[in-house]
Amino acid sequence: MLAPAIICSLLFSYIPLSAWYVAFSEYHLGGSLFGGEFVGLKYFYKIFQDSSDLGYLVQNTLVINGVSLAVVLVAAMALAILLQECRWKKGAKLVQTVSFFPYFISWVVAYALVWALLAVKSGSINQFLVNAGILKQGINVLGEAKYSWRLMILLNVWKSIGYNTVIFLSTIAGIPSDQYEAARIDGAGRFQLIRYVTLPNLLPTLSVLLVMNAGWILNSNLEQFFIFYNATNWSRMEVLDMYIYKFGLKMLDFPYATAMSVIKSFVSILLLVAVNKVVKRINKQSMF
Amino acid sequence: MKRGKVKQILALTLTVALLGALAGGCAGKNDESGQPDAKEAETMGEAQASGENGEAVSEKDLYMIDVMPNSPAQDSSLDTAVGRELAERFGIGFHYIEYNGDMQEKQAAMLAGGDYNEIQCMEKTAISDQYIKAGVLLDLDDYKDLLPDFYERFKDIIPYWRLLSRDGGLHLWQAPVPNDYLSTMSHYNIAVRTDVLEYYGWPNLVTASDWIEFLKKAVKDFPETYDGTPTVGLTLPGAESYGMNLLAAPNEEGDTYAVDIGGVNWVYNLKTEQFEDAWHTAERKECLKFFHDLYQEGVLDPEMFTDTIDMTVEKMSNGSAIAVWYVKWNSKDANQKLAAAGHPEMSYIEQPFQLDSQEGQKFVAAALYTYPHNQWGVTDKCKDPEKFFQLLNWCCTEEGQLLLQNGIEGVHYEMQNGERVPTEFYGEMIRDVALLGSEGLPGGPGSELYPLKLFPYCVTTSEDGRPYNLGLEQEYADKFALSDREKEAFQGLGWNSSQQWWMDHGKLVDVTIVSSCELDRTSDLGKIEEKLNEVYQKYAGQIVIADDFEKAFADMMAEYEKLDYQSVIDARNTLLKENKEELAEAMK
Amino acid sequence: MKYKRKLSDHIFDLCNGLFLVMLFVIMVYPFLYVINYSISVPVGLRGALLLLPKGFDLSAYKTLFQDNNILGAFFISIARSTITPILMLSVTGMAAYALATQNLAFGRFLKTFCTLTMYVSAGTIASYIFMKQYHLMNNFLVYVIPYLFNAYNMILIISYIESIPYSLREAVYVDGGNDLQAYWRVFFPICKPVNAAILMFGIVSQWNSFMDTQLYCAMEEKLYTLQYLLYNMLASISNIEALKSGAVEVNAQSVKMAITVITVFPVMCVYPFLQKYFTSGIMIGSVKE
Repeated sequence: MLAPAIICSLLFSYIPLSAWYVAFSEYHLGGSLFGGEFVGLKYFYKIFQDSSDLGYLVQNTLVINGVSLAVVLVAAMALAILLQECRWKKGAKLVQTVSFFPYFISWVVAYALVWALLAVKSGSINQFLVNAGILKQGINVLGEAKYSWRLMILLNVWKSIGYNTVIFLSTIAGIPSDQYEAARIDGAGRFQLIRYVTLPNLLPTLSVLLVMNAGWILNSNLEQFFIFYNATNWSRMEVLDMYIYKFGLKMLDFPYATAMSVIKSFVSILLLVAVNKVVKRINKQSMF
Repeated sequence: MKRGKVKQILALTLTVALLGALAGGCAGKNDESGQPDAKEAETMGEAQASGENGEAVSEKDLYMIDVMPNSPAQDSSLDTAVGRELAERFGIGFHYIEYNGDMQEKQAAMLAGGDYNEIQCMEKTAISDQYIKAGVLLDLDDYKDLLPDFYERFKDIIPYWRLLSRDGGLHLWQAPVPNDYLSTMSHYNIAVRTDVLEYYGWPNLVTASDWIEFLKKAVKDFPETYDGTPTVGLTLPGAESYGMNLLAAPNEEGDTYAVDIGGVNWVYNLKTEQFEDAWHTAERKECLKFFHDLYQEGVLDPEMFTDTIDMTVEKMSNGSAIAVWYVKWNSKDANQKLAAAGHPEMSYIEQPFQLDSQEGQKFVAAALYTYPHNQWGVTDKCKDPEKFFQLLNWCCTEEGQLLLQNGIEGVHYEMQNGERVPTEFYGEMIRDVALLGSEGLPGGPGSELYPLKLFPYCVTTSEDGRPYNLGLEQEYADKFALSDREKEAFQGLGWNSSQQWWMDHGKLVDVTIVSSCELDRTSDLGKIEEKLNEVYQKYAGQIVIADDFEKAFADMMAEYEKLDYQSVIDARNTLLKENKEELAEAMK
Repeated sequence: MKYKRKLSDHIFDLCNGLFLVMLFVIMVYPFLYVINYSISVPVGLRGALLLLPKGFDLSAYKTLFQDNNILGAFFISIARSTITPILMLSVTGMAAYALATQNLAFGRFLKTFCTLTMYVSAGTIASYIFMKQYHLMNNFLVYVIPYLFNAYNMILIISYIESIPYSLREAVYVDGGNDLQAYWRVFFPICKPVNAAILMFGIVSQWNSFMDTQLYCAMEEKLYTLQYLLYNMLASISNIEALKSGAVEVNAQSVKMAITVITVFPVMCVYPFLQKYFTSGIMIGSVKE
């Protein structure tokens, strides 16, 4: 039963990894992947040299992606419970359906939306606030660096809460109803049911999602950041992947770019293992 | 209940199996070297060709070549009148594949995967270098006998192309080169609302101070546009990737520097014939000072840093931007929208810009002999290079250039007293870009969408002393392309053509050698250069909005000087010297 | 079984209701804006709240539907977002079931082996070269085979299966079933909620994806998907060269909005259908422990 999965993993993930050899050689386009002259750790050393000023990039990446991840998952779990508890089932279904909408809105359109509402002068919310005399000048959410983190995190939550809620809802649906029955017979009220039945059943899912996604915390959606990045907010908006893109792929330096992805793969796995350990200690539940 | 479940599962597995079989079937069909598919495509193509165009050319009898040019507007050369003419004569058609991702990345992948086209488009020297190094491009010298007209027409340029090939061979050609028409050269400018100009009696605005004064008055006198939206003074799409580069621009509007061929960090000094670091020139600082002053005066759009081009377009479409920096290409669309809304008097026209220190100087335009944005080579995948080279060679004859650029006699132009005169249809075509594309002609200046740009065509005069492309004659260009309001505005300004200021003040200089001095981007110097660029991109915004300009500028320079900028400039100057010598050798 | 409702219950319901209504607004308004923008006359829309369209203009949609390849592309999109998710669910589900087996030989290793596929990557160029070697280039199967196994979904299913008492599985074996039968007859239906969710994710990601077309099928127009076609159209109308020469007459912003509408619509049709599976609980009480 495992065979198809293993074959796919081999074909599309592990065999292509042989191309990591490129990171250790002088590869030239058009030549064989394994034909370059072996140069050892030259490109890793280069990355190490170049990375002197990456501090703020790592900080931005970790804050934006890390906080987004935590907030998205917890919010999605909370939303799933609230939907479950909603008495008007049709309404709950409707909310659930529409919470999936933002997932389909591309970052380009999301930018246009935020701009329409929040551009410093002509955004409708800013216009309203200024006209009503609440503010003297519009809030420059898109331009000023101090708002960047919050903006990115909120947008991430807005976009992916519906997606993750689906997972939690399906977990709730899988809770055997006899658990609820038993709790009710023991005299549990509504809040106790949530506290002692629903939540404990959701926690394994939450920890699994947390651990799985933790491995990707350094990966950013390039489209998102390239669109919201500008000359006035870069100090809080630039992330690691943008740097890799600019100095690796964009410059057609493939050994360098490959070395970067080797490093990133290992860092991902390290993060995964670390978060897994932490979760295991707190929760006694984990992915592995 | 249980039985129902089993049934359901059975149905599901069945569907899966069925779909699997279907998928397998699809694959099988594709694997059989696409034989039936190809036939299908051919008949489809035929139907299309004969149905849509009513022409006798069908893809079946043709040698169809797949190519992937930048932003093709057509599916195939057979969708154009000139392309069909070529197909009839030479039996070759080109199938254009649209690709909108990163071109360099795609071309690199194609080379790595070994599935490059028969005739390959290569974006900039970074890519053509890789193709040449990999040895997949044919050496045109091996086919010299087939290409006498090619070698004759481009005899002055071939040495430059050889220089790009780096191994003494000739592996590529570029278009459009040579280009020595002043009217096709890019220059810095401002698009401005004509009703505002008219209100102040058609002033001739040129210098930075002129513009600041004008905009200050204008935002007071025109606080809102026709629909009540408040106006802004000057705007530009600063959130685009090229946004900040637009600020650093106008070094070359004087007569000392040429930068059009370069990045933002270095300029070529025409007087010393050396590269210089751009940020240490007085002009560059003055550029940023101009934007800083605009901002302080409140006439620079505060939203410009977060505006993408769409937003700039929107600001022009209802006239709420009084002036727009450089991105004049939106004017045409905006003017149509303004006219549709009943306000043609607000139409935008293009006006010149110079820094105060450049006042009275000629502005320098670089005559182009190389053009790395559109370069082509024939690869070793080409099934019938001889056949293609015959076509390539014919295109370089006088007759070929006339067909490519001016079209078919009797359709696009007529002979009157031995003179070429554009027809009414030609005029219609200049106004309607879609028609221009389906005819397959370059039209006026700025012909990036020209469907046949894979052929070498030169923007020069033909044997009759006029440009091959009559659309480049200012008289015709204005007559066909300008709206009544635009004509009125230029009359009001006292200009006899829309390009008059640039024609009067421009000076063509040949700096081709400069563009051949590209540093290897993967080298350490290339990386320093990229980092220098980063510094600018990051500090430009802060400098413009800073209260203390001098301090902000000094901050940037401090950051900039931490990097070894001088070694980059030195390397360029060394390369310049080497290339000059090599070129002198080749010219002999 | 009914129980008494307390005051706190009512307060909770009220707050919950209000909160959900607010959420509804936050989620729906942007979409309303997108729809209204796409059908408005694209002049002076800056700063407008657009609760209603301003004027009426379908030119953005006309631009999108003028491509005569669009039906074929639509078909390809439908094909890949039905075939691939179903096959993906089968392969991934079976793998999950197998890995959830206790005492599986090399179980830990195999699970790690499958899981790590999420985190290692060889880079674009390498993927390109290997896809070419597998003869998947310009082939419909490139939309299917690479997606058959999805580690993320596998983990989700595993964690779901682990919440089911293991005794259930043993009961099936006692009845004389083998693993394959046990999975398809018993576990697959029990996993219906998570399966539905995963199917949904599969459909959505297949429907949305255009990068694979761009990378592997750019040379084969017949394999263009709807998303890729839309992406191409958007790119060509936002193309600076096209703008410079005046070839663009529609408003790029409106077209972006119209594309969003077209993208969401079909998936929104599928969503309610699958929703009932991942929200309705299931009974596994039928199995005696």
